[in-house]
Amino acid sequence: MNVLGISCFYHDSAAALLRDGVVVAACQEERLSRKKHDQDFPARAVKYVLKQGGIGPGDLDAVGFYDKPLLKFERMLSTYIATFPRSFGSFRKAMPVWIKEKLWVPSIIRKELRPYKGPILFAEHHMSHAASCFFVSPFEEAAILTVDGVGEWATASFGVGKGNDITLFKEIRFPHSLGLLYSAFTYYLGFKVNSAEYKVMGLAPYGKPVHVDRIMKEIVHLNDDGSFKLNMKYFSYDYGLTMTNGAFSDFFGGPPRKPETWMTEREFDIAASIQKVCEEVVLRMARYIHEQTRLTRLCMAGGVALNCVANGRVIRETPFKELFVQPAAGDAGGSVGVAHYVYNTLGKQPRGPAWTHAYLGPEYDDAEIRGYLDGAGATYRVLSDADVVRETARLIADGNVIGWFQGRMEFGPRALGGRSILADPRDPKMRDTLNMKIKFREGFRPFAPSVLADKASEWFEIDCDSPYMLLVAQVREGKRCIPSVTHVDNSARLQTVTREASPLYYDLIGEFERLTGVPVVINTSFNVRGEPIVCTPHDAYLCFMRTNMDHLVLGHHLLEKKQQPPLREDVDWRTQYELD
Amino acid sequence: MAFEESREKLGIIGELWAFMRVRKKWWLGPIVMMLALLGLLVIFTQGSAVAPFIYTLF
Amino acid sequence: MNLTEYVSRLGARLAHLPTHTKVLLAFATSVLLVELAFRRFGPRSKAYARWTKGVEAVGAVWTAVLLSIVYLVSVGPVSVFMKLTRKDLLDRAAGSDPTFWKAHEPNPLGALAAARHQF
Repeated sequence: MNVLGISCFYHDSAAALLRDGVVVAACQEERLSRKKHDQDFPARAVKYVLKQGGIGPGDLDAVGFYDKPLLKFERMLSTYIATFPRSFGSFRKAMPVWIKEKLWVPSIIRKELRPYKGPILFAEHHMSHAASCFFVSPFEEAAILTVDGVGEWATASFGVGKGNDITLFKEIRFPHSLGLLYSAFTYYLGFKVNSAEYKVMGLAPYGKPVHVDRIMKEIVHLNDDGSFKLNMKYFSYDYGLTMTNGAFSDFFGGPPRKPETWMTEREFDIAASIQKVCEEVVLRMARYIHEQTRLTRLCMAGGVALNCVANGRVIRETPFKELFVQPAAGDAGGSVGVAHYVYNTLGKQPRGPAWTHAYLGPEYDDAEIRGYLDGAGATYRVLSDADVVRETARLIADGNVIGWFQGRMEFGPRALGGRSILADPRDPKMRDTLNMKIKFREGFRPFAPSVLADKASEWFEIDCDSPYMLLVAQVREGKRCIPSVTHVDNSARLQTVTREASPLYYDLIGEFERLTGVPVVINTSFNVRGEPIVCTPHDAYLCFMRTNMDHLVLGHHLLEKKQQPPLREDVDWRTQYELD
Repeated sequence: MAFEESREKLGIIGELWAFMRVRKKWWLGPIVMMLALLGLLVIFTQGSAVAPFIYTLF
Repeated sequence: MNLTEYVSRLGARLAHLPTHTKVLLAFATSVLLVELAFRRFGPRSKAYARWTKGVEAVGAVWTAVLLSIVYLVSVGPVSVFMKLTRKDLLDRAAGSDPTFWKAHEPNPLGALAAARHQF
């Protein structure tokens, strides 16, 4: 049975193909359209997942859409009514899109999937999130927590998954939203909403959470059970085109920071404060859910589940013993979720195996890579598997920055060794080099380590796997020789790598350890600021040539920058991508 | 094909009606119907010769 | 009624229309004819692109006007009604409830039937 899951029309559209309960392929549209957070119908992603599955649209048995458009429409209209007449600007901006597109989801899907004639099924947004984490988790039974900006009405929900069924018990409803609260601070701090929330998380350790008490007293009314209400006096996202208003600015003593301007202790402290509040809410929610369900396993999804600092605290400070976070925890993962919901819950089918990796995207074999490189006039050497590992590890140990393009592309926002930039974590200058010369991004942003799973607890204060880079742990005191992946508070957002999930990447880190004694490499996504992570050899080669990367490893092909012919481009690539 | 497409699009009216009935949201009626009719107007005239009067709206 | 008779009656009717209606009709007919001509003779021409751009600019103004009317006529009265009945659809009032969790209400149609709907 083939089920296609689709998420789109808000941000991060994606498609996933499920065959007999197993995800054959899943891909975000942005990677193929090269438009960051692309929200359009994922025509390219659909085409890819169907091709990967070796079928056409006519062979599908069902199509699932990840939310309920009319409930969302109702929520928006209710908001306009409640905030009349201030909501006119928002109404004026949003309604044309609804009138032209969002009210016509079934006919758009039918048109795009001709000659498909089967059912189009809709799941609630938070059910899609819940299904996206529970059904691919290794747990037969688990508590589920989903937290994001907003779906239809729900902004957070919890329930229990058992076998092929999920029951959601309770929810927090719009406009009271932890995700939107965090986004409001993201906006106030001068970053892009729905895109740069992770920057606030990265900024937080530089500051002191001095505003927590004030926020808790005045802005967030938080109960012991993690439920909360926001004081909407401070926000404008319910009626306007911005997230916060004058009252918010007065509260923090100034207007929102202008993007790309200098940051001071004030911004650091605000970031630290909202991060602390976010963690506190998630922790209280998790403790309450444990109390209600008495289960020891927790699955999490929704954009807030990408807050790996909070996730790390959930596993350390709540009674939950095991945690599974969906690697594509944001809306893109909804495509996987709705497909599973349709197949497992509605179709009452048994569950397939748990995910062991997130390499669900396009792959290019050596012949395709070579074809591209020859066409581009690139100079390269072809290596064996063993030589790829040996030479790349040596190059990293020698201080080179490597573009690493292997196998299938990752699903979700993190690069996990399929489309990564790798470097030596021992070099204290490497962070600045990568930020300034390779990624062209803000200097404060930390880099994440990939560590051999069997060495993870030796180097980091962690006793579970973090295969999707969604947990933060402290670097052990005796192991602080990896400054480039150690944040100012000695934390690191780590990925644990197993040979089962990623043999070549595991061997590479193993070889790097043999050379240096350190089983850790810097792993950052293969892109520049504002660009979607690379997908094809062409994307990778362009990114390699445009930046100061030293070498590129494309499958079995090793390219050295110095040997490449100059790149001829008609446009200035820096104007191609909007800064995130 | 055109007939099926039109039927699919017109289905929104029934869907909105069912929504208000099942979820008991009658007070949404005037707004929803007004917007849906505008939507139908835009959708059905897309690509036709009267498009200059319509397609530029929204 | 033959065609000649029909055309002459239509002509007579049009002749009786007020001047501003005649001007509007003439304008609309011209726009329609220009559009048809472009579609037939130069669908990819620069002139057609410019024409479309121009009409779109006019449309932007009309959109604002139409949506303002929709907003005032349909959102406004419901909002006033809600305010009079003191009903806040967003539940914004500060409260001291021991919990703000709300029960998740499953669709009354049941899971499978509900999945066929967009609500």
